[in-house]
Amino acid sequence: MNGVRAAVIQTFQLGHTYDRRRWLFRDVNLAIEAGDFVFLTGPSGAGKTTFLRLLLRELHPTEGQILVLGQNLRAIPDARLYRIRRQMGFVFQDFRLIPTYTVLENVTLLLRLMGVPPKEQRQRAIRTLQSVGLGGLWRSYPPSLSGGEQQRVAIARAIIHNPKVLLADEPTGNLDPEMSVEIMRIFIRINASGTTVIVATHDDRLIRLVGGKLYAIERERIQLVDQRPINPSLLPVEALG
Amino acid sequence: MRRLYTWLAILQFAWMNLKRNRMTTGVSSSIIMVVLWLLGCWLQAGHWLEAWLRPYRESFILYVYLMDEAASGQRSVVEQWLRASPLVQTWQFISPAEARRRFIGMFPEFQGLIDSLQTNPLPAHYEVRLAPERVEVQGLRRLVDGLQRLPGVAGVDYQQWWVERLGTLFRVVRWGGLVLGGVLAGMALFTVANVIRLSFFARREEVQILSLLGAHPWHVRLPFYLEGILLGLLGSLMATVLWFLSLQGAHWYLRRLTMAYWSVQVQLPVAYPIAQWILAGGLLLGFLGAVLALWMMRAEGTA
Repeated sequence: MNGVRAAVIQTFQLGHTYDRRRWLFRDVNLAIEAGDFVFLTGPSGAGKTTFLRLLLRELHPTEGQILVLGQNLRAIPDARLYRIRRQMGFVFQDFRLIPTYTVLENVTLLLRLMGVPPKEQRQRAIRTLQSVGLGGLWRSYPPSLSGGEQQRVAIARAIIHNPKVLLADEPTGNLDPEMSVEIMRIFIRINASGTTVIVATHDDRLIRLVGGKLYAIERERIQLVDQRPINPSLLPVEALG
Repeated sequence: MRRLYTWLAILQFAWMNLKRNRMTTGVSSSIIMVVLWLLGCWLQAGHWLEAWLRPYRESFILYVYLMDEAASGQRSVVEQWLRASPLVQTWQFISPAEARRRFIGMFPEFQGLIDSLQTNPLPAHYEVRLAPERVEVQGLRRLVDGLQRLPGVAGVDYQQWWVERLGTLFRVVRWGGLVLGGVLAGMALFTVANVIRLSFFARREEVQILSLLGAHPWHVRLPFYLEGILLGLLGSLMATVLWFLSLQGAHWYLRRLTMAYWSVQVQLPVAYPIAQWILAGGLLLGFLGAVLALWMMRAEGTA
């Protein structure tokens, strides 16, 4: 990608603490550009999940401002928050699938509420499930799937509405190394289609393997500590061409 | 069209949730059913009472007796009073001669006695028929007191005992129904509200996921309102069926009883509009229960 890219996420003097005694981070000024593949790392309890929750405005920051897709999160009324969230996708470490819904119903959850016709919902869900390698499992229920399969269903649910930003909180935390790499391949493919991907993880092996921009939370700061191109062996064939 | 699909999805969420929590759905809709069934039976009993007592109420006659020396001007004042009263349906002036003729017609064995008297002892009077739907004790008392104070009026007679007993009976039925209905409706409301709260807590994670995925706040809340309405609808449908079956049972039993003892066939008219009230009551109870639940959760900070 050449030229100046728009910042999809910007923070200004961002700081957060839960008890006003120990700050997770302070004075954070960063800009994540459209199409970036970002890792956010740090030890357990450093504030990775908190940072993602701030981006979703599940929490309000103690200090500073956050701009997501050009909108100041603090200024958005609660009733309109859904508009910005619909431009984002979120993947949880523990998948958070609804066990009583089929894979298809889990993946189409948002589309149903958005009033997408059932036929289109189904087509989009099957296409998205195929893109994460689960084309044949749409009738299954989550408890009957392996951890890797459940995480891929969760990814499909997060990307079915074509978000501009995908946030993933320790998405490989419950998976074995091979499956972790597989999940990363999916994220890289999503990123190659133009979606900004932000992955919070403390898995150094994965970070080294994948590449991208690396932000670390250390001593109350979030700083860009490394920037490498994405590992070509993980890139989809069409991106290499 | 998109809006329709959204509504269908919300309805589906609500329905699936009711199905998922069969136990709580069954208990709460049964409570609604019992409440509305009792209410329906109470209304029906009131309707029967009204139907049975109507002939008695229609036969209420007020007698306004005039003094012998009452002038025609005084009679006009009495008639003005009767014309102005909303309780009065019709009236008829009965002269002493007409009163005598009627008396002899009713009791011919006393003709000799009446003939032997020098003067006609029966006074001129008004026979006043009251509008049965408007008769109530307080209004009637006011009318009687007013008439009694008029010049030329010797006295006013009405079936006071009956009027007052019937008035009390209707008051008991009306207020008793209101109080009983209110208490039962309160119970049902509280039950629905708690069922919705339980349902919310059971689906807390789902609600959170929906919210994070970008569901509109109303898309998250509406299934709970619909759940309440569906619970109410379910309960009221069951109550309507039960109410109808109870009426049939009561009808059959009373018929058998009256035929056996008095060889009379009792007709118990079914007030079908009560079914509409039961259904509307169920929907309202369900909706208000959901409103109460979400209000309570917001006040607690849990929703």
